[in-house]
Amino acid sequence: MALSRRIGRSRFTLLLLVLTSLTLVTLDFRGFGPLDQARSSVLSVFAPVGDGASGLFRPIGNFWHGAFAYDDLQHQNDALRAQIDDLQGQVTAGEVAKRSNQELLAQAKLPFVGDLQTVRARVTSGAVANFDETIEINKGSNDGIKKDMPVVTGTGLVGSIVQVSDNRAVVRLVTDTSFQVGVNALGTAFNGVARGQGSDHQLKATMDVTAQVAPGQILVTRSIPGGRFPSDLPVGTVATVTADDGSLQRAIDVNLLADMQDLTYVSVVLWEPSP
Amino acid sequence: MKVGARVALILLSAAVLERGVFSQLRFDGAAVDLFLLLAISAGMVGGPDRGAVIGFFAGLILDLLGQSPLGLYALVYCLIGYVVGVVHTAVVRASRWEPMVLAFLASLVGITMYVVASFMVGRTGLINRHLLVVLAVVSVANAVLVPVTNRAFRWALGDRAGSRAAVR
Repeated sequence: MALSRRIGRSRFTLLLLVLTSLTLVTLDFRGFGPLDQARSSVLSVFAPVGDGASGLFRPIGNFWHGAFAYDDLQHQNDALRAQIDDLQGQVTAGEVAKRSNQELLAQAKLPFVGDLQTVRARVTSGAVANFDETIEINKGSNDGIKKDMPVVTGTGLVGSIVQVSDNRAVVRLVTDTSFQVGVNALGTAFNGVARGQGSDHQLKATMDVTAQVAPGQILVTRSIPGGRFPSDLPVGTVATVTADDGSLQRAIDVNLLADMQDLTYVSVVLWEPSP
Repeated sequence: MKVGARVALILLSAAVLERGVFSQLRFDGAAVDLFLLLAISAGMVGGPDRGAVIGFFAGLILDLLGQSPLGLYALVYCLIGYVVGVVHTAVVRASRWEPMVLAFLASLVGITMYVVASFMVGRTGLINRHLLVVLAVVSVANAVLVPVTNRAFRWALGDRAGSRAAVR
């Protein structure tokens, strides 16, 4: 009798917790303000704690990376040596290339962030949970950063702001499976949507089957009324185009322009959609 | 110190460790999931009731630290804490390896449940090679670390909690 009462109580507790969780999920999806505020508060509280712990345990992390990422480091080292050789050869041609590049950007009418104001920030840490593709940066609302603002490096789009506290912000990377951005094939009128594919660091885009896109073509952000991105931020280049006869859309693999493996500094574009 | 305060101390310590250390020590992109481990451990030491409650709060902290839909980890981890409590209670003669095997299997189930729950709320694309790495890393790490967290929960909940769960 006592045992069955105890089991009944356990099930009742479980039911209450499950219902509470489901309520939280629902409220979060509906954008319930206090939950967002709670996350921002946790971000503020744990920022110094996390930074302190990170500093304290950095030697362990360095040892870990040295032990388990030795091959990667070796490859990076080799790649960097090759890059140095290439760059030395390119130094003399640098000025010419720079001028050509400026001409190309002008021809393509691609001003990158152009006149838009940016805030440069340092990446302080990566995601806590295993399935999040996020980074934390050391600037927040005190520097004018707001939710949904685009984040770029010198080469292209890396994500958008998803959480802000006074001195910290969290960036959802373009590789996150819940990330999507409207894109436009540069120099054409063809529009599509690119989506994150997780840690394999490529995007998949879909475009209308009539879109004439070819490998190597640059994809840039597309501005739509009420959208989260200004137009013409470079996103990536078309890697492959798959045409499915039975489908009304083309599937496009996109190579990102930004190096997602090595994010140390990023720039937040202080851009908000016009209401 | 009261039981609640001790459990809160364990959860807070886990949050600091996860945020400061374990999330930085990634093996092929996957990190140890201390909060899932705490849910499993609480179920083993405290039984289904406490497993569910502590699992809920452990998941909620991870929800607040991360950017997943808030409440999703809380939902999955409270279910895992409860199920582990029920299974552990049902084991009549536990061997020395039983907690480690149970932690390994519960981690596999917990992560899979999270991916399924994510899919149900529209977060697709989590079924890829990264999932296999996460399954392997988290399950093995939790199996290795479970004796430590079991000890912590025996301290937090009192030794009697463990005996009660075992008698049931």
